[in-house]
Amino acid sequence: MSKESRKQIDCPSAQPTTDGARIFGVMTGTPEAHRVGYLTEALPVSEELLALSGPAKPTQLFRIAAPCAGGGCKHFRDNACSLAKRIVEGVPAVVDALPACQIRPTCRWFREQGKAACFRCPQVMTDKSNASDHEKQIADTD
Amino acid sequence: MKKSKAKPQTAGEKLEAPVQLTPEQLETVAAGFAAQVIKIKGTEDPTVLTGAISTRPVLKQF
Repeated sequence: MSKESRKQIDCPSAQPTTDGARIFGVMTGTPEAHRVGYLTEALPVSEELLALSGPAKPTQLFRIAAPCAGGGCKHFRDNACSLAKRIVEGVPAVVDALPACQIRPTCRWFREQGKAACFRCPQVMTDKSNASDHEKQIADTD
Repeated sequence: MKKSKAKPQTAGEKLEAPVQLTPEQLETVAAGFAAQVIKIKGTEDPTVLTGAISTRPVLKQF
């Protein structure tokens, strides 16, 4: 009787090619001083939406959620997302309230790190050019 | 008046209010930001990713 007993957990920094991917945020500001603008409604990834990025990569522009790959992701260690942990430990909070985020109920980062992840999330760009050494350290595991 | 209790602690950083957008605003905001990204593309370091990367596609290459 447990049709839907396994609850989906989403990665909030996923690639657009993942099955079930949806856009929940878009970068605002400038590439040097960007912030995620959280959409009032998450939108399924489509060719049309991806085309908005032009020659830029969609992951430089959008925040995309998709089902967590678990052990298929290099950041998944000890049954948890090590990227979320590094973000919470390594970067400061940037907002003074929880963003109105459509994926929070299924977000792995929120599930594991709580509000601390949400306070830092608006500065996360999935694919960032010209990252500092500190940011590179947070992005990679090894 | 007291401010909200759940304030994150930072070392002297000024905190902002989260930004919210409607799907109708998406196109305009995305186009504006994409134009700026393209401008600085010449200095791109393609090795940097803060998002999760599945190891499967990489393994397929071997």
